[in-house]
Amino acid sequence: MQDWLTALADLFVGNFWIWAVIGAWSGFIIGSIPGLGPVFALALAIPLTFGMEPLSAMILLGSIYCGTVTGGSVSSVLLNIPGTTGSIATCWDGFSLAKQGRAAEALGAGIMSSTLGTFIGLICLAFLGPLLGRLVAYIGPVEYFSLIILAFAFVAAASKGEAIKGFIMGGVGLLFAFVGMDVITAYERFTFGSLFLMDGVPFGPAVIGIFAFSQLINSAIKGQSISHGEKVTGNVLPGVIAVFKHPITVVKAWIVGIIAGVMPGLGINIGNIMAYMLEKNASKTQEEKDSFGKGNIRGIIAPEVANNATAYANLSSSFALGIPSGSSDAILLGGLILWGLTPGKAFFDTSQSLFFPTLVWGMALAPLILLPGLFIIKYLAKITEIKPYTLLPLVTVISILGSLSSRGHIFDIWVMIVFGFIGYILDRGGFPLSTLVISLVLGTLLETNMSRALRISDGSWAIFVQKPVSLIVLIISLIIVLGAFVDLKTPLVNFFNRFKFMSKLKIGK
Amino acid sequence: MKRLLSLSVIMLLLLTAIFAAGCGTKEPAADDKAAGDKKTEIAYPEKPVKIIVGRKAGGSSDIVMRTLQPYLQKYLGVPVVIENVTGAGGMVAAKQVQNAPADGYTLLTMVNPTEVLTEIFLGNAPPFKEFAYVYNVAGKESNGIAVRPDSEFNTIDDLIKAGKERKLLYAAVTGLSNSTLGYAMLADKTGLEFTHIPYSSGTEATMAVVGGHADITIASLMSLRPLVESGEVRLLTYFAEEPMEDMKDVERFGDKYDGVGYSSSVGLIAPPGTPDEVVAVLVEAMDKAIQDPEFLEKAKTAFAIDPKGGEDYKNYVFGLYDYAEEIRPVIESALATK
Amino acid sequence: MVRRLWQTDKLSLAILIAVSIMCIYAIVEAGTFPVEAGRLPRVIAAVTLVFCVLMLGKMFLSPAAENDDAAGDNNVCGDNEEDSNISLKDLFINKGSALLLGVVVFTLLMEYIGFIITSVLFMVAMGLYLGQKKKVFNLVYAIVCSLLLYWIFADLFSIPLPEIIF
Repeated sequence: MQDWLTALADLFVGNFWIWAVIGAWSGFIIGSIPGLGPVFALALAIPLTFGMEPLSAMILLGSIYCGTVTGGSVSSVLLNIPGTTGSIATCWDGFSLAKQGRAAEALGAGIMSSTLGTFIGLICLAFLGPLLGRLVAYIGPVEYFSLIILAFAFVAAASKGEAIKGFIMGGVGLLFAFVGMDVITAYERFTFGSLFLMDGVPFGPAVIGIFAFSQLINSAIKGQSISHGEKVTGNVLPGVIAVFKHPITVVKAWIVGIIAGVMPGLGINIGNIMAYMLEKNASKTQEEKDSFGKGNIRGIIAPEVANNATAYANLSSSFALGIPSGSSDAILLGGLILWGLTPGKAFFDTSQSLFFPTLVWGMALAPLILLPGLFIIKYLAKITEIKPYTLLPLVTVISILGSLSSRGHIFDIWVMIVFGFIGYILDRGGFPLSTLVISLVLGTLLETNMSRALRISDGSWAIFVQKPVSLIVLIISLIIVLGAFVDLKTPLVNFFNRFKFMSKLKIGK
Repeated sequence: MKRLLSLSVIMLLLLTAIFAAGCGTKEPAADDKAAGDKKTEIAYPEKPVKIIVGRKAGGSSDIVMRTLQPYLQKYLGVPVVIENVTGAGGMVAAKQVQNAPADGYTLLTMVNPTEVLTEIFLGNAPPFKEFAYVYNVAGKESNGIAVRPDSEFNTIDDLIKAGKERKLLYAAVTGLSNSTLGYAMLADKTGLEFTHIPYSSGTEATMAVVGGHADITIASLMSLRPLVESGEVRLLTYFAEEPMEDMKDVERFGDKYDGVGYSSSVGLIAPPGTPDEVVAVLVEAMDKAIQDPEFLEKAKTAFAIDPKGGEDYKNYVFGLYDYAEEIRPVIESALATK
Repeated sequence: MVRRLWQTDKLSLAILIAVSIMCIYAIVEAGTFPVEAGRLPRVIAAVTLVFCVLMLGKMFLSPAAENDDAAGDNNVCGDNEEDSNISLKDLFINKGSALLLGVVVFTLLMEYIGFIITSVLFMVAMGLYLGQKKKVFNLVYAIVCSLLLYWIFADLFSIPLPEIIF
């Protein structure tokens, strides 16, 4: 404890806090630009830090990391465009609130949740870091496969009510995920000979297309401002308070976030969506469940807590093992090695060096620095009042640039256009796009881990139930799926009845 | 009427734009020609130089270039920008640079022997022999076989012994990479067969070994060094051509098996047809950059420097082609195993 | 039955047929892959196809299908309060398609005349088309925004944009 207090003093004595301020705000701004996420911001900042001493540099990078993940919620709420891939789920309720003129409240909740998420994530990293880092290595292909099945179970349960449409979208997402070079056999699948598709459908542009561009097409048709001509009312404060009114939501999202962060390959892309699905599934009544996607504040809290928690849990394997589990922490680790720092158990040892505790304090400072931003946000929310003929062309160009920026190929803009069109059509037809995107992320992981496990077991499927962890996870998955559909005693019959009932209601109107 | 008006405005703007574009492209081309004809002092560099890295930010080739960047900038006198163009194991970037204007403002980071092997054995690469060779930066690095610290294998003989009793699990990177060469040598010399557990990156494969999901992996020494230091993995052997100083207590593969080994390198090449004068300017700047004490200090902990300018670098890469042909059967059989 | 076909939700019908074709293509194509590469794609495509057929069957057999709305609950973009049972004409001939077309032209043009000019043209045209009345403002706004974006992305973040040519 003494070490931690000394480290805190060091932060201010050594003027390291300045880097946290700079990092947090520049990260926040980059994060709020669609298409530019933490990976981009970190890669941009790394050469700038070469002349700096390691601790300042790491605090700067850590704060940028925190800032980008937090900033992602801004464009999600205001424009319905995920600022980073970590804020996809934030769009669904955040933007609905913005449409009701309650953008400020949504942003307040978003930023407050991010702050909480960061704190919890950091506490985890500081005290459980070495343990979590180890854990990463022990999740083998078999366990990994079962955990992805669990994720799919959540998704299936969340799509209850229009299960068939959800399943079809899941299938389509998986098929898109299979595009590109197969990791197992190095065989090119569905690439149509294009070099650009060899690494699969580029995720960033696809997400911008599905969620942003399709939305832009919709608003061009509507011809209304985002707030539907209403004046932006409300303040950030109710949003901030709402976060504290839902402690259980925060805790659940935090657990999901940590799990997504620890699993290699998942990261912020999926953590936020899973937290959202879990929160939606936890609804007690059908009305409550239906309120998601229509402006339920819990639909903002869950993904925003989760994505920041994920971001820090992600770092634990880099720090503890020296093996990164995602792209952004790979860059941080690259910097670490360049400065001659050795990751591993010693990295966390506060008795030898105050490097780590000071770093944690520095990163903890970042979200606090962003809190005053809440007062600016009131004015930022005015964006939703701007007429579409002014806002729409600009946002379209930003989306195009966002798609272009991830790899620098014009091809990626075409990906955005195609997925935008697909997204628009599917959305109009009432097909759930969230399922498609989750499958797109999980598809490759599902397949490669399945194939790896089968190679280890020499082709025997029994391996998935022979390993205890895997067996338990599979049983939980089964319970979740059964639990979701059990209240429809005979699912199909009930489904039909509901259809009739609803259509009669419509006619009645 | 209003529509018509706006449409005509757009058409007008469009025409202006195309006209401007037409004019714009002619001028620099004329300049180049004049410079080439007179063979006088060339005006290079005048604008920022772009270095394309075909791998993810944070990877080893990326770290080499990002460490170098400030110093190259210093001696070249213009900003140097690093750009990560990922895709198809670096081949998207290679094809992009192949088609870039040969004016010395776009350079490619070449990772060897992977790139040469990709061209020969996979065929989806541009002809690297046609590029202009600028400078080799890092080299004398190689790959090593990593096992868990508590593994039953202490020497290659232990591996052979166990491999005869059961099929060992080898965590491999998909497709072709430097480690493929190491695997090919291992399989050729020991006669062992492994079950491949493919991963999309070297770090993931190493993670599989740390977690005990695979028996061995082959990864770059650059990425293994910190892990060996922290005790996460143990090196069984390494594939360097010559004994390495910091690997004294590890048995070199070549010492056991008639000197086989290879070294990996990271260097800079320019699009085919880049004028010699431009390359000369770059080589001069690189010579200075690579001797900058600050650069040396930074590179010390991260990678080994192996400076080779212009022709030297070209000869080295061309030599790799002959080498690849020499070991063709070994590589082909390694690529064929599942 | 034929009459029923025209009464069903044409949009869903079109989507389901498109997905089915995609699945059949995937099944056929994956048949040529190595076993490990083709295994899961084939299974997934087949399962998805079964669900498509199930839903198609339900659409035709259910008497309520003509007023099928099924939308609503899970609308991610959440912007469709109206019935999803719309004619294909309404779906494609509108300002949204114009935007789509505009972006396609943008992408094609950008490679030849650079980002700035394309962006200015696009923003002016889209602004006017969507109903901007202040024409001078529209032009100035387009130019300022394009230059600003170019500065942010190309200069500040050094993302390669198709170059401005003057």
